[in-house]
Amino acid sequence: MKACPQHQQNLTLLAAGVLSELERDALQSHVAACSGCREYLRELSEICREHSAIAENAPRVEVSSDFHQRLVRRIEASEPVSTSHRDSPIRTWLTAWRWRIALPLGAAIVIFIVLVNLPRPRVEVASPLPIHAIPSVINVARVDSPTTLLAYRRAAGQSPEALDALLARDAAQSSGPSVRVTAFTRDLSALTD
Amino acid sequence: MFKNLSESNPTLTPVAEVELPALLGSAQRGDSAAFGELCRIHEARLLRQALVLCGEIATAEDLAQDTLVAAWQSLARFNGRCRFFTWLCAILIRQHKRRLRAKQSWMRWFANDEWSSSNDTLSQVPDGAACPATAMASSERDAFLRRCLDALPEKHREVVFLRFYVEESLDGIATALDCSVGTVKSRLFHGLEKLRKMKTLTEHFRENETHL
Repeated sequence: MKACPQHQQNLTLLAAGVLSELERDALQSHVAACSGCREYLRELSEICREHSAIAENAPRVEVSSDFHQRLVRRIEASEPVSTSHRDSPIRTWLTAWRWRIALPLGAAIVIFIVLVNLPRPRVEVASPLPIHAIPSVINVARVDSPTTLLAYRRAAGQSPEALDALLARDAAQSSGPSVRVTAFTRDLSALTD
Repeated sequence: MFKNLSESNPTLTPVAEVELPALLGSAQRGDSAAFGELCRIHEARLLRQALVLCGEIATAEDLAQDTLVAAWQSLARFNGRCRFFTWLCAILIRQHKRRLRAKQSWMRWFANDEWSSSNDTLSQVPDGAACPATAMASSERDAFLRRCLDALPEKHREVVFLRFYVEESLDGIATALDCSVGTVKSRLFHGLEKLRKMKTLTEHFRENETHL
């Protein structure tokens, strides 16, 4: 039969002799009626007794004079922690966690440096044209290409004469209407005729 | 019923108890001679506790020395709210664990299957004596109980050790370990529960061996 789960912790504390008197009385009345808890308490009490018996039965040890001398030498060789840091929680935290922070951080830095400095193989991409065949300057705008709207706007923004010159050039190149349009033309009805 | 251990708590001589605060104060200000005197007062008891943990005098001496040197190096952290000896014992059990861990890592290095087991409860059960008659011998039983204690997780082992070997109260343990009394109760419960399971399993194996 198993012990009642809700009483297990208190049974352990009772066996260890650390349960308060009030709790102890209440629990003992339950133990008297519950065989599972009684057996559980018996097992734990035995374990507690065995372990405390080890300490009680341990032989008295005579400390040799050499022991103390060696100890004093070691103490004099090592420095105590400064009392100025005594209550510093940050230092306590850092002392406890220093290596846990430093180790992954150091590893991450080393990996980063290795990855950055890793020699990468150069990939040669085959060019569709031989390099000497590519002209240094590519003239995109050809002379006989039609004038763009942007070119007209620029010319108009520059001066009416510039627009005139552009229109004249276009008229000379194209085989369009014979009516000459200039920048000074006010009446556009001639174009629609 | 198990007796209240705090009643049978061994105390220092009256002279030492009077001297203790003054020596502690001087030692905390960096006076190594004062700390040497503190060591002289406590070293016999500490060595006995170390012997209980190790079961071998040479190892116990090394362990006690390491503990006292570690105590000297961190003496500024002792706040005086628990007994100085309890604080030393808390360091002792940690030093013992450190040595065990180092020993086990060497054992793993020269690997055999014994150390490659998983962390389940069954694998943590220490080896019992093969012969029931031998198991009844007190030295064997003590060694078995020590191995059980060593097999506990650190936080549980500290509490069990301070309660049953150092005979410290819950408040004293809580102060020495810098945790609440509730935490100590919980750890004591889990520690003893694990010890109970280890014992039950070992007895079960012994019975099976006897039948075979």
